[in-house]
Amino acid sequence: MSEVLKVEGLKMYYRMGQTYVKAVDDISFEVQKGKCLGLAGESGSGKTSIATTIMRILPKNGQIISGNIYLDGQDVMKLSDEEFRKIRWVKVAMVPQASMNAFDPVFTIGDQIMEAILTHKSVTKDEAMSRVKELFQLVGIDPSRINNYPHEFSGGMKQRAAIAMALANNPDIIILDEPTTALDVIVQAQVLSLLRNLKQKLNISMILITHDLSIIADICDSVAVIYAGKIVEYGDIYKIYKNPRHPYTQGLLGAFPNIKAKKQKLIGIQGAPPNLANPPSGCRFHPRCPYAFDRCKVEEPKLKEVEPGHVVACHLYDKGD
Amino acid sequence: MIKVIKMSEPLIKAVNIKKYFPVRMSFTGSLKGEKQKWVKAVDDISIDIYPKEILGLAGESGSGKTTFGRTLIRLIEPTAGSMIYKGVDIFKLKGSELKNYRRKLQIIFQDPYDAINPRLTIRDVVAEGLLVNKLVSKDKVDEAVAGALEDVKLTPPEEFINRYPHELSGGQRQRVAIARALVLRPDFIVADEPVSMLDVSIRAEVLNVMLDLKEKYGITFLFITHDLALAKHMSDRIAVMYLGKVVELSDSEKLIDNPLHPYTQALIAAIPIPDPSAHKAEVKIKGEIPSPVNPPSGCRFHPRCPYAFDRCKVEEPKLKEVEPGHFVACHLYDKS
Repeated sequence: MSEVLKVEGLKMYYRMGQTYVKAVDDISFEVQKGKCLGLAGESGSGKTSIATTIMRILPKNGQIISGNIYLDGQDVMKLSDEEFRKIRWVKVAMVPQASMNAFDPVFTIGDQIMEAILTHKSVTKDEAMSRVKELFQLVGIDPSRINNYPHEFSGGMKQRAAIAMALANNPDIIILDEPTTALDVIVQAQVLSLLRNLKQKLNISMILITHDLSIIADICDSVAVIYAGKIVEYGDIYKIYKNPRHPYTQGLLGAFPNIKAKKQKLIGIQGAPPNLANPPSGCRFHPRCPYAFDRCKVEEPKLKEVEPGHVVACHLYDKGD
Repeated sequence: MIKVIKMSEPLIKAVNIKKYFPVRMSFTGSLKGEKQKWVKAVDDISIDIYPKEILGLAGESGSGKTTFGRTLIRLIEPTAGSMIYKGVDIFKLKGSELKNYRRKLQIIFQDPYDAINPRLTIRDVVAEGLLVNKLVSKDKVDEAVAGALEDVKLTPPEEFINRYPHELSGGQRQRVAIARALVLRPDFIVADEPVSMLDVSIRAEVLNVMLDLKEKYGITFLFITHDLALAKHMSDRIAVMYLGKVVELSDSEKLIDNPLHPYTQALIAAIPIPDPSAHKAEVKIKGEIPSPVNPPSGCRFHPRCPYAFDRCKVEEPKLKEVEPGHFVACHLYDKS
């Protein structure tokens, strides 16, 4: 297996006056060809910042402090902005959150997707247009709707069109940021089944960002649970859902009801996510953790393997060394 | 196992409630004598809500569930129908008579960032209703507010009472909103998607507070949600809405385990399960919910229904009891 994307020790901080908000703090993961990685976490955990760092579309105050990003083995941190612009949307594309509502209302959907193709490839308009038709078919929109304006599309169709746009230049990997959050459950299921089909048909790699662990269970192969800018648990999806080790992962899985299971009392997680400008010492989860002990307050836990293909950053599983 | 649902007389009887909103017409259209169009957001809903139950109201966006909740407690004026609460038709009341009932019928809104005045302290937010209704004397206000905050687990209350909403997290704000409703000792609370804006990890606390209050004070809830898993968790019974109509109503476990209406079946099949080895979310129906301005004829679901036959296109199915306590509006179960 080959890694399409490999991220190593990535740190990206937002400068806020005199302080730094540590939104991405020492994150490492990899995505294999044709596989889907889920990034799970609550709002403010830094999951979107990971995506914008990889895409290099950070706001002015976002600074990459350290770390490496390899796309198909190529170290993209060495590329200048201009060089990176050439591979953005060609090797790695993104469907940002709420991008379904980001289409320009005065241009047709077809024109807007065509623009994404013409920017990166030297093809004629006709060739680009036939590619758009192909893409429409691929995501399940009737190609005759190519000249429709955004307001003529339903929410689900706009989301499909946003996915089509990300696929326009055959990227190796697409990053989907909360792709179903604004959609109703039936439309959400339609989009999820589209993503499963695309994964199979195109053998494309994906990163799926969401707060909803059931969506990750639905399409991902591996999952990284993010808390306060750090990965707290990472690995194979079957292993983690079967045997979640980190108290935060356990809390997330216990915090919302499963429609197939018997009614049982939901167990929430005490408190609220921390402010990343001033994160708690030691393990960042310790103020909310039911099992926290002294060591958690002072020493930051490192990711350690608890079984093959399953790592956890928690002192409960680290018998000291 | 058939659970006996009719425990007692209903606390609330909603009878043929309708709420139509006019569609804005163009000036030239009105000169040409075009007919006024209506959005039939709630179209003839009758439902009994029993004391101390949580009735879940589920449906996709645009199905009319929020409009129904707000019409029921007369936050918006109904187009037709009646709402009988303890033998009184709330829709017929006016002025001070209506005001006396308002405090008994409360609501918790979806967005706790919008629903609380940012310029008031938590004390003032919670106390406002008490003072308007003259329920306690001024010197007892703090005590009542503290009691309500304790009930929603904002403890110790002294730590919260002088704070402003921006100092609280989303989950804490939503609990302030619950305290504000609770302090008036209501019989009935409409909870309109109370946790959909909250982070996953803090939802459970808000939900548990509501369940505790139901036990402690015997409050009846209408729990509006788009999430059937949540509806099942919270509710004793669930009503499923589609385009302004109730299409199925039943004991909540029965509705999830044995859904009868094709729409309910599709909704349940579409829910992803937090278990990678479970079956994948499937889509049993096509398309998206149509516009309520010009809803399909006959059964409103027929254009998307995999089982639709001729009768569905012309005749609107009525909500019928097909087994004790299980109501469904579908011609498949109507042998007449």
